[in-house]
This record gives sequence, C-alpha cells and structure tokens, in this order.
Amino acid sequence: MDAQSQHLFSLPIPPSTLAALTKAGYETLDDLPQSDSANQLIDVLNIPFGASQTLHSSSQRPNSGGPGNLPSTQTAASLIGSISKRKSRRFTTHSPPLDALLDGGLPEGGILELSGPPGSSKERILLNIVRSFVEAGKSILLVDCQDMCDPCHLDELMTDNLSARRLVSYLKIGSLTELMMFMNNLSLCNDSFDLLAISCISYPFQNARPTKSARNYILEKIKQALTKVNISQNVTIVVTSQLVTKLVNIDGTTGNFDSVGAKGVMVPALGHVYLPSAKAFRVLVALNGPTLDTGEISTTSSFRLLAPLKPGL
Amino acid sequence: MVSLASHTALSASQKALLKRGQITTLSDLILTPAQDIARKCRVSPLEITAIVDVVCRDHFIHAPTLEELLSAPNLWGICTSGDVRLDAALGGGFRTGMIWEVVGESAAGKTQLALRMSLLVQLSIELGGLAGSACYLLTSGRLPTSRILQISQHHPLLASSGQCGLDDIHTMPIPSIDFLVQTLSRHLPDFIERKLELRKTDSSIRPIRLVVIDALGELFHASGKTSTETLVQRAQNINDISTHLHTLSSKYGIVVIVLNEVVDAFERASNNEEDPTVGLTYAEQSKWFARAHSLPGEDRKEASLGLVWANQINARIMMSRTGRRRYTTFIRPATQKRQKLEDGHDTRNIPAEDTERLELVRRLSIVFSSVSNPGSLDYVVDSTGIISLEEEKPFELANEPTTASSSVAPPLAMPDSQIAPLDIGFAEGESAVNDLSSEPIVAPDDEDEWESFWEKDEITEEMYLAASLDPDK
Repeated sequence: MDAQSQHLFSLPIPPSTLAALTKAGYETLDDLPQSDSANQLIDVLNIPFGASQTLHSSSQRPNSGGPGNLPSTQTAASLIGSISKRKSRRFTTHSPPLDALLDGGLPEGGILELSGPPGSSKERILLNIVRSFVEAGKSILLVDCQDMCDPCHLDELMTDNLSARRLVSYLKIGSLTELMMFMNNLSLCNDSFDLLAISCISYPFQNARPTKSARNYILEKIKQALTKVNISQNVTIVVTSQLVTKLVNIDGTTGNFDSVGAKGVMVPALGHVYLPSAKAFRVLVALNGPTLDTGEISTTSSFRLLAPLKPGL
Repeated sequence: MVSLASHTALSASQKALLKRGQITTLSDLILTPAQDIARKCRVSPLEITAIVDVVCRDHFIHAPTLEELLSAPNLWGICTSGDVRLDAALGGGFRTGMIWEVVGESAAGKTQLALRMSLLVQLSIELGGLAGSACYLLTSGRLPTSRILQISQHHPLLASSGQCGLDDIHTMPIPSIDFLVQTLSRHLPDFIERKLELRKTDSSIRPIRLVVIDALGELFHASGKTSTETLVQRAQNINDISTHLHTLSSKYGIVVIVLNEVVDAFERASNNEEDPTVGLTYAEQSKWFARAHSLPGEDRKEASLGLVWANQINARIMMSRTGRRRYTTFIRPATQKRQKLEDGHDTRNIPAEDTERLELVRRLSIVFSSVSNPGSLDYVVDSTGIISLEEEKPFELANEPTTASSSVAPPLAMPDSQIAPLDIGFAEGESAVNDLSSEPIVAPDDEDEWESFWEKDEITEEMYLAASLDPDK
C-alpha cells in the first residue's frame, strides 16, 4: 500500500476529525486536496490545528499531484460534496460518534464487528442496532454466546415497540460445537431474517481451546457461512467480540513475559479471519473515562476503525 | 458429550467409519478439520462433509421469537436484593442466567450481601424471591449461621414472610481450584438434578436458584510452590469455571454471584504513543473496567484476576470501605441487642425512634453490567444485612478525608513473586497448548530471585493475567 492511498483512519488524528472527513467523502490521503483548497477544507470542516498539521505533513509527498487531487479553484462548498456513491439504507447505532465513523450508520447488508473490553458499550450498541431494525420492521436473529442479552431485559428495552416480540428471535449458544453446528445450519434457516446479531462470538473459543489448525479451519468455516448468508440473502451482520492481551516488544514484535519493556496491547480475540473481509467494518470500542454516576449515561467509549478495510458498499 | 456411536442420524457404516478414525464425540466430528477426519478414517473429505451435514441438520434448532420465549413458562427471573435503591441500580434486582461478580475489600460487606441473597432467594415470587434454595460454596471457614439468623429476623421482608431459613442454604466446601471445578462440573449439577427429581413428588422441595462462590480470588493465591500450576493452567481454570457457571445459570435459571477480592491498584506508566491501528493499551483500559471511580480514593483498589476473569462475567459490582461519614436517619426495630458478630460487624443498640447519627458509610459501584447502567450508592452494614442511603445532598457532605488509613482494611495484595509469572491469560495461542507436554515455562527455585525480578518489571501481575502467549495472526 503506497503512501498516497493510505487510509485516513490509520493517521493519528482525533476521531471527530476523521468522522468529518469521512462524512465528506474523503477516505485516503489521495483524496485530500492540496494547499489552498486544503486550508479551505480545514476551515469549513472545523478541523483542529494539530490534526490539520498531521494531515498536511502526511500528504506531503515528492510526487504528490496524482489523479486524486482536486483543483485549487474549487469552492469550499463543492469540496464538501460527497464523493461517495453510497446509497444503501443505513441503520443508526444510536451512538452518534459510531454512526459518524460508519458514515451514517450500519449499512443494510453490511457487516460490523465491535470488539472491546468488559464494560465498553459494544453489547449496548448491538442491542441498539437490534432496536433500529425492529423500528424499521425488520426481523432479527439474536445469538447469545455469553448470557449478555437477557431476553427479559431486551423486552423491557423495547416496550415502546409492539412488534419487537415478533420480530426478534433469540438463541443461546453454549459451546463451540453448538456454534459450528449453528453456522453449518445458517443457510438452512427456513425463516429468513434481515439482521444476524451475534453477541460474544469469541467466548465459545476460549473453553474449547482448539489447536491452531483446527482454529483456522473453524474460523474459515464461519467466514464461509457468514459470507453465504450475507451475499445470498443480503443479511446484515453485527457481532461483538472480546479482547485478549498480547505482549508487544518495543520494536513491535510479539513479546513474551521474559521480554524487557514489552507492553500489553489488547486486540480482538479472533482476529479478522472469520469475517468476510472485503465488506466488514471492524471497530474497536475503547473505554476512555470513568463511569458517570448520573444514572442515564453509560461508560464513555470511543470508537476507532481497526483495520484498513474499505468502508462503504 | 454426545457419543456418535449412538447417534440416531448416522447409518451403521458411517458410524463404523468414524470409529475407525477415532472420531467418537460430537465435538470431535464438528471441530476437527474435515481433511484430518478424512485422513484418519481413510475416506474422501466429501464423505465426511456429508456426515457433518447430516449430523448438523439433526441438531437444527429453531430459534423462538421473544413472544414465544416469554409467554411460555421459562426460567428467567429476578431476585430482589432486599434494598429498593440497590434493586433499581441493578436493573430490577439480581437476574438469573448471568454471572454477577461482587468484588471488594474484606469487611466491605460482600459476604453480608451474599448471605442475605441466600435467604431472599427463598421468598416466593410475589414477594420478590425465586421460591428457590441456595448453594453457598465456601473456599474457607464456615457459614456464619448466627449472622444469617439475625438477618432473617431483622430484615422486614424476611422476618414477615417466615419462609426463609438455614434449611434451604446448602453449603459446599471448595478448598481448591480442582475442588471447585469438580463441584461445578459434577457434584453441583447432580445435586440440582436430584432436587428437581425429588420435587416431582414433593412440591415443598425448592429448586436451586442461587449459587454463591465465596470467594474466587482466594483460590488463586499461590499455595505452596508454584511448580505444579503453569500459567496456562491458571487461565484455563478460570475459563473452565466460567463455562460451568454460565451453563448452570442458563440451564437451571440460577442467579450466580461470585465474590472476589481486590488488590492495590498501581498507576502503570502508559505509553503515550498508542498505535491506533493495532489495539488498546492494557494499562489504560484496565483502569476503567477493574476499578470504580465515583469517589476520590475508590480507585485505590482494583478487582483481582485481571482481564481473563473480567471477560467471563456479565456484571461487576464493587464494594468499598471509604472512610467517609454521613448523617443518616434510621428507623430501627426496637428489639435489637448489641452484638459482636462472627465477622466483626457491630450493631448498635438503637432506640425505636428516629436518630440522626454520623455513620461510617461504604460505597457500592456498578462498574459494568449487561442489564443496567453503571451507578453508585452509599450503604451501611447493619443487622438486616446492608442498607443503602439516599443520594447525598450537598450540605450534608462529610468533612472526613477519604483516605483515612485507620479505618481502611489492609489491602489484600496477592504475593507478587508467586502469582505474577503464572497468570498470563492464555487465550488463543496454539503454542501454549502444544507446550503443555514440554518442560514448564517457569520453575523458580529461588523465591527471592523472583521477588526482585518482578520488582523491577514494569509489567504488573494483572497484565500477566491478561496476556496471551500467542496472539492470533
């Protein structure tokens, strides 16, 4: 991947800046205009000084001036015009920063993985997405792998919607074997559904402890099953996953507990192998503040797109 | 595990074929790569895929709608905590089908809460209970029976119902990790089933609806030499315990409450340059899921057993002794004698009328929960168990410093030298599994050597508890 096509979300810019740029249709450094137009853009989008510096220095390359550049005579208004051709319906996650990151919400037929530490809002957001689909009259299959989605609680969350009880189907998975049989049977489902929501897909793996080759095989099978149902029936998919800690050396290589100076980095437990990679959004939900004791507001979370996968359909 | 030899969906020849390749259980069939099975059974992979398909279809489960689920008799329920404010904070009370962790310093009140729950679960559904009995698993010591009696006599719900007592609290000793795993995988399920069986002919028998583990952290202290337990084993133990608890709670509609200890929280130097495309910094994240932050000083302590355990639970409730005082008004029953209780809690001789006093208050914080928002409340321990206090009004704020060391229990720190190297949470790495047969990864001969080694190490024991050996590729 050369520098010009470097994705914006791999730059150390604040999430709000990233969201503003993405919303305006800019995805890679390639997309950003140069010099004067850049300053206009920065003003109009209200990008803070630090971030604008980062963007400026990142996009300075000896041979800049490729096909992605916009002529500097364009007006600010036209710079904000959406470059993207995204027309799919979007479902809100009821979390504005995440919606912004996803350019309006989870697209219909899209795939979203939310991973985060205990207490992050990933499970809450999964239920929010379920609610969005209910509000649109769509049907949902909710798969609960770690008892996070109490059906009574879910029912209480959606009391204002009378059709919720009919639209949401609920299944508990208790082991990796059960999960794999479920995946195998996914395409068999006689009742079709619009959203497949899987809570804590990483959990069944930790007790089964498959060998590396078995694990890869299993992850591939999951990918096949998800891809099939996503493509053939346009099922939207959202999954949550836990994080595991890996020790990373100063030089970036994997460490072990003997390594001096290694630090702990939390990464999604299953990696990306199990997701249909071309389409999947992978979002890290981080905790970045104390819980607020006001009863209504849940733990402050921040979101970031993890892998350089092309968003948008 | 389901044996394939007796599986109804397979033909005799298919069974024979599988037996030849030593594929005996359902898990073997489903989780082993088809190529490998094919090779072992000496048939083509296509035949194996066909067998897998047949078996999977036989296990097809139709997912019920919420309507079907909730209108039929089911095992979902909520048990009151015995305190209206606490119930509200918990999202109605303690729900079945999930794992609740109650973590805190000794004498913060966790056992009080657990003991009272063992009584409250016995109440009828109308009164807020689950009409069930409790299994109380103790790592050490004995059930404080006189305290339980006192609670049952003083707490309004329990006293007036007369339904709840010691008979329906079944104690089981769990002196070691192995004991606990054995209990959860075999003895407890057997016991639960037996009760259900007896109930068919005698409806006065109450099914188990609450399981308490008092206390998990104690089991993971270094006991003697560390050579027998590898770091992988520890994390696996935690995973196994969790899996059994989740299975039991779902299958039988049980409230699972696990008591855990705290350790001193250390500020870890967090590296400012975090690579946003890789992951999150453990040092930074663990602050928010392992500690409570509603009051200054509340974050001096953090839950033990790190990320590995935190990933297992559905809710974390932290109880702290804060050294704060508040004016409180209590209406107490007239008959209350001064008593030095087994676990050292005092109750005062209070006249029946309202009295305003400056009380030592404690703090309860819901650090995270799948069924409610985070929140906090003040409480005190009294003869009824624990009792919450109203939200503090500004003019009532006590002027006691919150770090009064004299009223705070000594921290329950786990010994660094023996735990730290062995508690790396093995998550998904294959090398750890393969390495189990090779020589142990650490075999410290000299305890002092390890002491000093870990002293200098930036990486804390909690980090080790969470680190995986072989990150996924």
